[in-house]
Order: sequence, then C-alpha cells, then structure tokens
Amino acid sequence: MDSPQGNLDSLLLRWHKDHEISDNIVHWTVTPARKAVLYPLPAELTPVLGKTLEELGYKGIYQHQKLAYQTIKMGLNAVVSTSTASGKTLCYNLPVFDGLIRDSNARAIYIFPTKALAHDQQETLTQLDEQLGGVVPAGTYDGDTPTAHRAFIRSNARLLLTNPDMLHTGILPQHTLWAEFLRNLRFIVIDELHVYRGVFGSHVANVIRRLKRIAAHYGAYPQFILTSATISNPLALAERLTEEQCKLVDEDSSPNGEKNFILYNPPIIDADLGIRRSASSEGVQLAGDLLAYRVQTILFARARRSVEMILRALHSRYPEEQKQIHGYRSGYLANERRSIERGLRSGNVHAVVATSALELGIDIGGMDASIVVGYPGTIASLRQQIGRAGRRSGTSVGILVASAAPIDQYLIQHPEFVTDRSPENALINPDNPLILLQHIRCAAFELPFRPGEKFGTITWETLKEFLDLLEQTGLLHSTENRYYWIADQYPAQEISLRNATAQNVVLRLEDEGNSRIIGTVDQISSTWLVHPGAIYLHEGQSYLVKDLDLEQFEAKLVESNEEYFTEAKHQTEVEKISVIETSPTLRGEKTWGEIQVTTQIVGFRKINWITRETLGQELLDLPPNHLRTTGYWFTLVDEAIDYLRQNQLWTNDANNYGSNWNNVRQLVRERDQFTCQMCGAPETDRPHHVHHKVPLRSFVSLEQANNLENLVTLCPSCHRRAELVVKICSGLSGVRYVLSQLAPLFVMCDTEDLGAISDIQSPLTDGRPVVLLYDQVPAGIGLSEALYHMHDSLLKEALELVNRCPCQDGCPSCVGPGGENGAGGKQEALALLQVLTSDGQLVVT
Amino acid sequence: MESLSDRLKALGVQLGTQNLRPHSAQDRFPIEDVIAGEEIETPLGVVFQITQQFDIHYQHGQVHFDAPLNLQLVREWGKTDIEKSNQIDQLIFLDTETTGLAGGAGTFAFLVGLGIWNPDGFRLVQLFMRNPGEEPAMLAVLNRIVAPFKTVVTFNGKTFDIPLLNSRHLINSITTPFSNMAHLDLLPLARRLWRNRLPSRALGDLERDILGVVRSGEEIPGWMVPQIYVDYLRSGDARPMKGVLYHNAMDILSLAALLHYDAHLLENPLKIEPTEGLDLVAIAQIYEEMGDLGKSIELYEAGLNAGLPQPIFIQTLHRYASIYRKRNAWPETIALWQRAAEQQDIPAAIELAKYYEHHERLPMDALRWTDNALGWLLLLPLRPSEKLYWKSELEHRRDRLMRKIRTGALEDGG
Repeated sequence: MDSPQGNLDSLLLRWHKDHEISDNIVHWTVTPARKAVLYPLPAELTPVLGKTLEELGYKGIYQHQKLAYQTIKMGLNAVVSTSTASGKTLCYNLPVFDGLIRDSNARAIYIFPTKALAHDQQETLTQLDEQLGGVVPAGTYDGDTPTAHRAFIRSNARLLLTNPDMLHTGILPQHTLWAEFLRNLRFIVIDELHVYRGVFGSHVANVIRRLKRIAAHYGAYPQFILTSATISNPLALAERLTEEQCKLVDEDSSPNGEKNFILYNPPIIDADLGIRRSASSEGVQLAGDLLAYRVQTILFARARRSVEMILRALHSRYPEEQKQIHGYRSGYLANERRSIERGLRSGNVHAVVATSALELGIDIGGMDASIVVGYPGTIASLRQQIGRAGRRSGTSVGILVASAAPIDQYLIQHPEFVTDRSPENALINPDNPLILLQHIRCAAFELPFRPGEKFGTITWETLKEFLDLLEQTGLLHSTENRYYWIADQYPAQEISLRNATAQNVVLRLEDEGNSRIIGTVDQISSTWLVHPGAIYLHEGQSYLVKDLDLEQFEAKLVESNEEYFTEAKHQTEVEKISVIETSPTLRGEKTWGEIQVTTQIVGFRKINWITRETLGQELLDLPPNHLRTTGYWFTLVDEAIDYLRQNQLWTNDANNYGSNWNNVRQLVRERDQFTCQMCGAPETDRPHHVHHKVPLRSFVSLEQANNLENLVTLCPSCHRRAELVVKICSGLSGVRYVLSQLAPLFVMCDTEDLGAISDIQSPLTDGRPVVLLYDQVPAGIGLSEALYHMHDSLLKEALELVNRCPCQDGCPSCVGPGGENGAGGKQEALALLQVLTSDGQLVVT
Repeated sequence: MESLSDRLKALGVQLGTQNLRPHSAQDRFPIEDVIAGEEIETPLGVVFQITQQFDIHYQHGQVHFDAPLNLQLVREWGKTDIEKSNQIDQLIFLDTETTGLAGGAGTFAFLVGLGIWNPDGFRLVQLFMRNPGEEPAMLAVLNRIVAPFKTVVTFNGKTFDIPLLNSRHLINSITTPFSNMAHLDLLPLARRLWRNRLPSRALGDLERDILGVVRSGEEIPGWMVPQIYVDYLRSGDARPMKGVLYHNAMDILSLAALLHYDAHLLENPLKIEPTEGLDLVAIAQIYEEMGDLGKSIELYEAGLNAGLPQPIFIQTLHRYASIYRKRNAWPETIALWQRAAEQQDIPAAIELAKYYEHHERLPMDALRWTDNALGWLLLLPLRPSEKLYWKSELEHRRDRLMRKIRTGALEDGG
C-alpha cells in the first residue's frame, strides 16, 4: 500500500480532533520509538554459525538474545519473556545450534503447543540448516507425520519439533525406539510457555516429569530454554513446569517504531441499563477509517461467527476492495491461509479479520494497525494481538474496543496492563491428584519405578501410595525392588492432556439408521450440556439430545431445527471438607479450603431464540454431580453486617406485603393451579409460596408490586432459591458477580474455570454470609489458592471497577444485570466492598 | 487421615479396586512344584530355566529332525547374511510369551523359549521369570545362551519378538546380543508359500495344516497367555503356567520343523507328496525372482498340470507367459495366452490381438480375438464397472482395427 505512514499519522490526528471518536477514547498511550541496541555476535560462537548468521544479514544480536545465549552457555536454564516480534526464536536457536554443531551427537527437542507452529518453525530451521550445510537436520514428529517417515526421523533428526500430545502418546511410551536420541538429548525448548496453564499446563508439567525421568534413564540431563509472552510470573511458571531452577531473561533491546495504544469504549446508548453500542460495530467503524486512509489493518474478533459478521460489514462498506479484505480463522484451508499470510507480508492484503488463530507465532510481518474487538480472554493474548501492529520503524496503532463485560470495562481503566506490567499469573498444579494419577500410570508403563525414586518433586512416600493403589487395581505388580506394569494396556492413549478426568461422554448422532460420533463432552459437564431434551450446539448446527446414558458414557443426538435453546436449572449445595488456611481480614475472614460442590440438574427451560420468551419447562431426574475441589471464601463480621443493615444496605429482612396480601396470594395460587411454576410440584398439606418476580422493594407502590403479572406460585424450596437470587443481587450477589468476572484476569483463566456462589447463610461458615470462588476442576489447579492470597487487592480492584461504572443500579459491566431478577444492588455491593477494604470508622448515616 | 484411594474416589475417580493380593499360603504352587527346572544364578539375580532334550530321531508331525537339511535356498530367499548362517548348528530358534500386544515400553516377555540343534538332537531351553524382578537375570542368561550363535530364527520375530527384546534390554540397561546377529524370520516366507492355499499363516495353523502336528489337551491358546501370567503373579499358583510352557515349547519345535519343511520344499518341490499345485506355482515364482528361470518354468508347468483354482490358473499363465515374452519367445508366449483365452480370459485375448496387430500385422486375426472377447463379455459374470471398462477398451480397439482394415484394403486395392 502506498505511503501508509503519513496516512496513519494524519488519521490519528483526525481521531484526536473528532469528538465522535475522541470522546470514546478512554486512554491513549504513546510509546516513543526505540532504537535497537545491538551487541556483537558472541565471540565463543562456533565460527561456522557466526559466519552463517552474518551471511544471513545479522549485524549483531539484541540484549535478550545475548543473555539467553550466555545463560545456556553457563549451563543454566533460561526463560525469555519479551514482547511480540522481539526475536525470541533466536534466543533458543542460537545456543541450540551452537551446541549441536559443537557436539555432533547432541540432540534437541522443540515443543510447540500446536502443530501449525511446529510446521511454521520447521521451514525456518530447515533454511538455517541448509545455509549451515546440513549439519543439524530438523524433523517434525506429530500426528500428521506419515508412518513411513517416522523411523527415518527417529534416527536422523537432531532437532525434533513436536507437541506435548505427541510426546505424551507417541514418544515417551515408545522411548526405546528413541534410545539414541534421548541418550544425547541436550536441550529442551518450550515455546509459548504461557499457553501451558490450568489443566493443560498441569498435564504438560507431568509430561515434562516423564520426559526428564526417561532422559535420566539414558543418562541425559537436558537444559531447558523457554519463551513466554508477557505475563506476570514467567519465571515461577517456568520453574513449576520444568521443576528446574531457571534464569529470567527479559531485557529487550530490539527496536520498534512509535506505538499508539488506544482504549476505546463504545458510547452509552441507554444510560439506565448501562447499554453501550456494540464493540463490533465500533470496530468496523474504526477499521473503515483505517482502510480509507489506506493503513494495513488486522482486526481480531473472539468467535468465528463474529469474524464472518465483521468481514461482511467491511465488504459491504468497501465493495471495490473485497479482494484485499480477508477473513482468517480455523476452518480455512491451509493454502488459503498461506496465501493470506503472504498477502499480508507483501502488502497486497489491506485488511484481515482474524480469530486468535493468527495470534501465535505465525509470521505475517508487522501491520500498521491492530483492532481488538472485545478482550480476548487473557492479557497475554491481548498483548500478542495488539503486538501484531508495529514495525521496526514507523508509527503503529493498537486499539482495544471494549465490550460491556466487566473485565473489558475494568481493563479500559488500566492501559498499563498492556503497555507495562501484566497482572496475569499463569497457574498450574502438577500435583493435582487426578492429573498426577494419570501420569504416574503412564510413567509406570514407561519404566518400572524403584523404591526411593521420586516423580518430579513428588516424594517416594506419596508416590508409593499411588503405586500401591495402582497395584491394587491390577495394573502393577511389585517385587522387593520394582513396580512393574503388567496390564495389557497403553495408558497414554486414553489420557487427554485437555481434561482433568479421563472420562468423557461420547456424542452420538443418530441419523436415519446411521450413527456417528460428532464429539465428546467431559462427564462432569454432561448433565449440564447434554441432558435429555437439551438443545446442543455444535459447529453451528443444533441437535436435540434424545438420551443420556451415564453408564455407557454416551449421549444420543438427532439433528434439530427447533427454534429454541435450552437452559438447565440446577440446585447447588456446598459442603466444607477441610480448611487449608484461614486468616482474619479487615472486618472479615478469608479461608482457603477443600469443599464439595453438589450440583443437580433438576430441569430445564426452553427459550425462544429470538423473543427470549420461555416456551416451557421440563423436569429431569438425573444423578447429582459431586465436585470435590478447592475454594476460597470470605465472610464479614457482625459489626459490618450491622452497619450495612443500619444504613439499609443489607436487604435480608422481612418485607411488608400489604394488608390484602392473603387475597392476592390465594388468587395467584388458583391461577397457577396450586403447582410450583418452577419445578411443577403440586401443593400437598401446606400452601405453596407466592413470589415477587421483581422484588417488592423496587416498587414505589404496593399495587404495582402485587400486580398479578409480577407474582408466581413456587414451592418452598424453589422459593428459597428464587429469593436467594433476588436477595444476593443486592450486595453479596453483586460482589460475587464482579469477583467472578474480574478474578480470571489475575489468575489467567476463563470465567468458566471458576465457580462462584454467594450465600446469606452458608454452611461453610456456620450460617454466616459468604462469597465463594472455587476451581471447577476436581481437586483444583491452584486458582482459589492464588485468589486467597490476593484477597485484599482483588477486593480493591473490584471496588474500583464498580465505583467507576457509570450505570445507575447495576449492569452487566459491574455487579450484574438488574432486570428480571430484581434490582442490581450496586449500592449494596459498593458498601460491602468498602466495608471490607477501607479501614475508616464505620458510621451509621 | 483420608487414604489416597478414598480421596481419589471422592474426586470422582473410578478405580475399580479389587482385592488382588496373594491368596493364602496353601494356595501357592510355585513353578518348581509344577515343572522340573533349575534356578540359574547370574550377577543380576536368578531366573528359572527348564531344559528338554529331544532325540536326534525325534519326529514332529511329518518332519524328521534327522533328515538332511540344506539351508541354501531359504537363506537366499530371506537375504540372510550367508556368512553368518552357514551351519545348522549356528542357528538358534526363539519364541517369546509376553504380557500382551498393547506395545510400547509396558509390555515384556516373561518366557523366552530357545531351540538349538546339538550332536545329540534338539535341545529346548525355556527361561521363565517367576516374577518381573527376574527380568535382568533372564536377559543375562538369554545373552549367554545366544552369544555363540550367528543366526536367530523366529516366526514374526522381525516385527515382534526381537524389537520387544531389544526394548527390554534398553529398559534394563543391558546390551542386546541381537544387533550383531543375522535374523531369519519364517513368516514372510510362509506368506509367500501359502497365501493362496491356506486361510491362515499363523504358526499354529501351519503346524496343523502343513506339518500335521496335533497339540495335546495341555495347549493354551496364545490369546489367553497374558492373562494367565498376570493371574499367576497375583495368586502364586503356577499350575496353569504348565499349559503356557507347553504352548511355547510346541512353538519352538514347530519353528524348527517348519524350517526343515521349508528348506526341503524349496529344494525339492516336486518330491513332496501329495503335490499341491498352489505350492508349486508359489515356489516357481520364488525361483523366478531368484533368477533360476529353468527351474521356475519347470515348476509353473508342474503347477498348471497339478490343477489350480480358475483365477490362479489364469494368473499363473500370464506370469509364466511373461517369462517367455521377455525373451521374445513368441510361440511359447502365444501358446500360454491361448490357454488362458480358452478360459475366456479377456486380457489374454487383448494380448493376442495386440500380438497379431503389431507383430504379425494381421489385423483380421487381431479383430477376431477382439470380437471373441466382446462375445465373452456378454456371458461372463463381471461387475458392471468391469464390464464397462472392458467394453470401452475392446470397442475402441475394434474401431481402430476396422479403420486399419479399411485403409489397408484401400491401399491393397490401390
């Protein structure tokens, strides 16, 4: 594209002046251009490598590259955490090639999280090797490697590119085929370290334990080189993942041009409800400006569907440029993608609308502008997406267009999270007993355990408990000096690195006598997602679940064209198993402990896609699901409750329903045929309750509140739940909502990874009010532990978020929507958070 | 304190824990009480060894172990390193019994059977691990026994037994002896010889169908073996192992007998009674590949005369004909094609048509064969797609021949 630089500068100037735009810009950070600081190639580099790099045009290396090289040279492990496009790959290629050229037997493994990344790197490495004269042959070994090539790669590759899954199922269980390779294994490179978090990271940490164990069997003790996008704890994560001491390298002297970072909040169109204009339409608007100024732009959207929507909008706005505006997401063919990547590098493609598929590693050169529509889920992703804009020189702009989600609204106040320090802690728990059990099985298969042996940092005492258990289940046989695998099984095959539990429910599509499997869901989610009667969405098609067989672990589905979706109704109960740690907090107490969450799906609602109206309800009789996990909860002292109550910020007290309530109640019960409208239970000896859908106290007049439309018959237990929903919306529930939305930012997980419950009278605290956040994975992966430790700052950040929200009384961006469940409870939540965070005197007003 | 298994159960793990610890002491029947053998000591521990000596005149099915044996052809076919497998007494027969077929580092061989010819006859040695802890000792004894030999003979050992044993050596950090040995695997040869005649080329089936051996009631089918060993480890009752040892011993004896049989069959295929046409043409093909065309022609003839199933008969004629064709021995080639054409074989008719058109320049004769074939097409029970294919092929040929004949006629007339 012609002269984009001047164009971008003038567009930025225009945005600055144009109130239509500038009014929505919450923050505009300009990072000045930075000149490269180059260091000479290390003198001790093997001459052939130095010469080759010079031939390839390297005039020197950057500071992190130099430090990484030195660290490895000293025999230490290195973790490199620098910004996108700073040249991280040379940080490992330099020491690895140097080591492999010096020692002609030495081998290295490069672990990439995806096959696509390995293939992308393979090309680069092969080119480098050709330049070197073919001394370090590289081979990719993954699920796509043809069987006929495998033996050749095993015996010839000195640099093996693979992924954790292949290591887990294909290499480690067959390690004797790799004896020569493993005996000489000198380096293990782990790229995109920050991806290895949560359940997946906890699995991969155990795969690393197995790899180290097998390498040690052959007498090899390889060094680790890891690279990470910017997160808050790269060193801790690297050390937890490898169980080795690592040295952090984060000094970056690579050059970049002037970078503009804009936080853009779409304008409010309904002040009462706090509704803003949609992020994607604003994104299209901004992209349109950039295109008009001929600035090469990448636009990121979260879902595949939004990619297509935005693409359609841009195409209709710029029909003559259709060929220069592309989509990019999974589902596009490989050669289609390659051609778009080339087009981006050459400038023939003016704009691309992508999902995170373009975020990791893939080389497209630097764009001039990057627009991220909605927070992509982690700061690391956001930084990588924003980082797609920016060249070695010249101006670039990265824009986050916030959605209405609380996390977006919070982030929009924190540009420093993107431009400076990241708040994200990537957490793993390799010692989660479920995950550990699965990998001890694999390790026992791979090599008999000896008494006194450790598994990573797992002591022999603990390990022995697991081994004895596996012996009791018939998988192992022990003699006085070994535990031998004796079963005719290949355990790695049935263990997925993506799930904590091995058990999945298979989704079988029945189609006119034919049947095929279209996917799986894990057993724990199955009653929720594929209960009988559920509408299950898969690849844009909706299916009706005919049957769920939890003994055969199979759900039977048929294609469906119903115009509704379903929403499961559940009952959740929490039980305390044990307290791990507890400590007093300001006017309260926080606890980290083991809990059991029992969830039962009791029925579901059918909801019309378009009108959102409930078409009907059905009851279900499914077994309860027990989740034994770790949780973090806090309560507040009586003094604080009293204070809130006296200021009418604690709404748990009885209402006055009016003098004619008995008549109204009778009328409503008659109308509803004396059956509970939630679970369908008929009245027995005692009358059912009548419930206000919108709570009484939200109305000025009793007449309005007691309008028949607002009243519904409920059995006592459904009523208790319904009341809970309403009450906790005022205060506790608001705090629960904001914390459940905000916490993932600090512990780098999805909102679904954390369960959140608030309860006025919780069994966790002998009937005191509680807000609880818990790991959704059995036994936990460390999220609640981390949250327990960051309690104070977490509550402060929540307070700030709610404080800054411009809405009246709660909205989806802060304490949760008001609307049908009653008032938002913003004031109550604010008061609660204040009481728990600011240590001033409590004064009754 | 909550036990690990309770904790895991609470987390939702289905352990399927059974109480599998050893039964009472009275139930224990050590292998020593079940079969005569001795404990062999090594620096790496002890292992149990069972030895049987078979008389030089032992007969296994129809094979006499004292019959003269010439390994030349078997070796040549298997491309075994001749240097290493010169003498019969330099062969060692090997067969393993394992804990399963799952593959990977978790499978091991708990029993290795070995067979050796010595001046007194045939010696059969079985190394048995009374528990998996005896593996290092077993490998040590195995290596000691194997060391003097130059060739190991197995059945499917190239894909299964030897890689497995090599893997066990690596796991126990012991050097494998097999990397320096030649390896003669009798399975590929069995496949070549009996692919068309027998429904299965498993060793047990060859033993019955080729060697004429009948196993006794002691026999345990191979698929049950892993479970029996695992049960024995748990219960300490070695009595069912007797059947496994018998199974393994029979496998070794059959392996040795099969080598005898194969060698004899390859050397004197026409002397084997009763004559099997299919065996003869399979051997003819082996000779053809080894370059002995004279012998292969003789065997093709004998095979065709001994009687073959229709499709193999036709296949053989084509294969046989191609030997002559490559040498431009046209009369012999034509004769064989004609024999196939007598069976209404369309490809043969096409070959003949081509021959008359291009070599003899007799388009009328070529047309006759083409028309013949088109005629058969109406009668033969072919699949529609096949029918279509040949029809278009033949009609195309017919059109061309017709054109040629017409032009030829013009030229003749001119």
